[in-house]
Amino acid sequence: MTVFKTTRRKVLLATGGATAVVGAGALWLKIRGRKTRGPVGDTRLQNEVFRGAGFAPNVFVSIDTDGTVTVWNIRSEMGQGIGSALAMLVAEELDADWKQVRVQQATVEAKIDYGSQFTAASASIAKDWKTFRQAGAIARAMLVAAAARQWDVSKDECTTRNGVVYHERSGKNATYGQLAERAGKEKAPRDPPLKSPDQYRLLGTPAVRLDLREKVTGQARFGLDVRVDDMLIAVVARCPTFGGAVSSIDDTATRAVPDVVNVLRIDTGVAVVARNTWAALQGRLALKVNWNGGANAASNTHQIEDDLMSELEKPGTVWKESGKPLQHISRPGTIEASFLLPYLAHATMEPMNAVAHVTSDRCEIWAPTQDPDGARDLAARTAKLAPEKVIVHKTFLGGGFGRRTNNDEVAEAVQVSQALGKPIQLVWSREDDMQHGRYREASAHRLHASLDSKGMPIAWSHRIVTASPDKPAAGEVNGIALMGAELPYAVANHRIAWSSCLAPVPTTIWRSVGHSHNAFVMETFLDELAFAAAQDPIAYRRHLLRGKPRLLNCLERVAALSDWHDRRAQGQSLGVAIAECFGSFVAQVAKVSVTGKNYAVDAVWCVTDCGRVVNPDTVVAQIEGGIIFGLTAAQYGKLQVDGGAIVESNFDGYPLLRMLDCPRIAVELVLNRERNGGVGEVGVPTLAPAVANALFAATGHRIRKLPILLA
Amino acid sequence: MLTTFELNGRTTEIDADGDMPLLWVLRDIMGLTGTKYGCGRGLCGACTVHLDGLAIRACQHPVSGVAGHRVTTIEGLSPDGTHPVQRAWIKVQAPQCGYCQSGQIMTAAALLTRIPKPTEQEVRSEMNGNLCRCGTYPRIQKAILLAAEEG
Repeated sequence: MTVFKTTRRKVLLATGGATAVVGAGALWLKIRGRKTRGPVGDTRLQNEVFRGAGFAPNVFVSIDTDGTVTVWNIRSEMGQGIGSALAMLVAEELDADWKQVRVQQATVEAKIDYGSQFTAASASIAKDWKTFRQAGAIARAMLVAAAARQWDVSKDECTTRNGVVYHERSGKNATYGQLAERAGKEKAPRDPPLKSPDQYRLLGTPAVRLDLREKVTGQARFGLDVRVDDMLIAVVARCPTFGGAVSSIDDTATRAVPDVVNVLRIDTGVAVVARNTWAALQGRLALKVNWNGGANAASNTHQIEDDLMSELEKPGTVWKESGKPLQHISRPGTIEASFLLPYLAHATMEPMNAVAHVTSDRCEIWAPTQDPDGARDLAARTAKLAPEKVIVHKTFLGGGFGRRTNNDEVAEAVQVSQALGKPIQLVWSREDDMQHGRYREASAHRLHASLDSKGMPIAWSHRIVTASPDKPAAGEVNGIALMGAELPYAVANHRIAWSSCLAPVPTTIWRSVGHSHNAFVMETFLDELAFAAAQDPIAYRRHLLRGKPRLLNCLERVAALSDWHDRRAQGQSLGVAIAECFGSFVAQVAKVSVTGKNYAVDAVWCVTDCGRVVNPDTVVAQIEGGIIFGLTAAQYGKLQVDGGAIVESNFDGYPLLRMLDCPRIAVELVLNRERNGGVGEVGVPTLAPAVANALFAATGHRIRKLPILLA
Repeated sequence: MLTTFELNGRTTEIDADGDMPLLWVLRDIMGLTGTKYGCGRGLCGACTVHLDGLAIRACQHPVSGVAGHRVTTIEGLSPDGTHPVQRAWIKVQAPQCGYCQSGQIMTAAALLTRIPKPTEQEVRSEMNGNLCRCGTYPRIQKAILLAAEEG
């Protein structure tokens, strides 16, 4: 039980005001939250929190009298290992014993201000790098002060290691647990010194993740595992077509299903409420609903693709331009290619879900969400309660990939709970998840380039069209769709222009966002230019990477790691692609083999420079996972629309990569002390172009459409 | 309808619709939430449990069909989470989000019972029915070969 009391220091609950905007230009995705603050002015670091036994000098760390160090994870744990990584930041400066460290999910509630907990854009470590180390350093300083006071020695003579304070001269020592209560009476330093990198004992090591035991014993609690007394299960029948509505319902058969307790209309459809999930699903099957399909009932993939391609013919809104690209590419000899990319599902292994318990003056939410602050606000709006009356508990997330930034299921759970006065677990079936989600947008691209007499590009034009359910405001560009469109290569004349075409399919961020389409079209097109110039794809890129030393370094190292030249000389089919994304640099080589119209990706080599690394093993795991995520999209990823609805409904129609198709993967990290780059998404963008370029090497055919099918 | 079977070593009597899949009996009636729902159609393997020692998909087995049989879930695989597969899983740091891992581990444990020293190809074939969206396949493969080696 966590107990909060008013702190003895001045409480100043700053509310998030600043809005950070990702990327350049006017963007559609806004990341809620405050600017990164130093300890001076950061109430999160200054306010003591009373959590029962021991002491908690700030909101991020508490130390129990038994020596247990708890790190309060403000980010959503969706597999990326952020809980353990934040714990490492604290433990490093605290000189904690890693075996005594555990992670607890922070809540969103009025009593305690953790700041923004939004978890996306591969940004957590970059945002929290300093704050969590400061949290540990503050706690350490107070423990040392308590020990020095008790022993009547100078603080400067005390040292710390593995959860113990030592005073060497007198031979005295005390554990953090023994000192915890006294440390709570010490004054928290405003700006404690932080270690220099050569003093690190834990950061940069492959420390064992702290969530492994619970994840191999079935004890880890995901959203669907939440059990609250008196809780009922609800599933929702939604109109198959986007934007459709209920016309009439006959719930006679549903109400006759044993254990079904209620049927009610909510904003998104008809909720069937039962004592268990099976009964709720059976009840929904028995429900007779007449839907009004609405304006989108005829929408289909062919129409959307036609709209994307015809929008390509228009000039679009210029996002970046330098020199005179149009003049160059209007000349004869210009190389041109057009690309078409599909809608994609996130297909998290845990389908969307949330638990809500609304009472007359309070709302409690348990949700596997990437945006718990948004969940609180949405729940408050839906229940017509003040946000202070809402508390959000984050569970583990069974995958996120951007999908869990929307909280649609939270609003549904709140509506049903409020109507029935009971705790409700709102469950999406796999089919609901695949057919009523929000998706990576479909897009079309056209690229032009003209080459000089040596075969090097002197002009580059990239026209992007994304499908969107909303019309952009005049002059606005979709910064998310444009992420990764900026050329890493030195090309004097270039132009990047964007526009959207209307399609009813809802969209949201998807692991690596715009990079997921831009890297594909740009890196396969660059391969075409290298081929036209009769140059080795790596040598060609090398020549264009002047002023990009870190990217160039990744390229050189992946050439070595993959034995690029030897393997090519032996006739193996390799492809390369590079990307700069989320503050990190990536180069990948893929090796394919082709048999008739079938192809297999045999191996992928990847070199990543993401700056200073908290836990290299976790980083490698994220890159491996990103490669497999990218390969699933490249080989299989495609959602089709027919009759205004998504056609695919489960893993038969929307396959994910399986073990037998998983290539050998080798990942190498560039170790340096540069600023923290992102990790969670950076493995994805280069995979599809590397594979497509390898397939060109094998077949002589260019891949202009995803997923990759050999003609 | 009453169904009696052995669940994690204990004789268990369930009063539920006989058509209810074992998955929902475990999760919603027995409170054993380690077995996961992923697809409901036997396509992803997240709900894998052991029926008389063999790996099966709990979402595809009506509870009436397990009457008189022995069911083991992730909670019953070992008393303290130290089954060789679980130990190997921790050693190679296999899990990411963790959602599919119960099913992966149950499939792997059943595999090693049948084939104590599998080849790499056998591991890949036998594990092919279990999806992992995070992409932990390389580590799962490594963990199973390690568990086979260390026993």
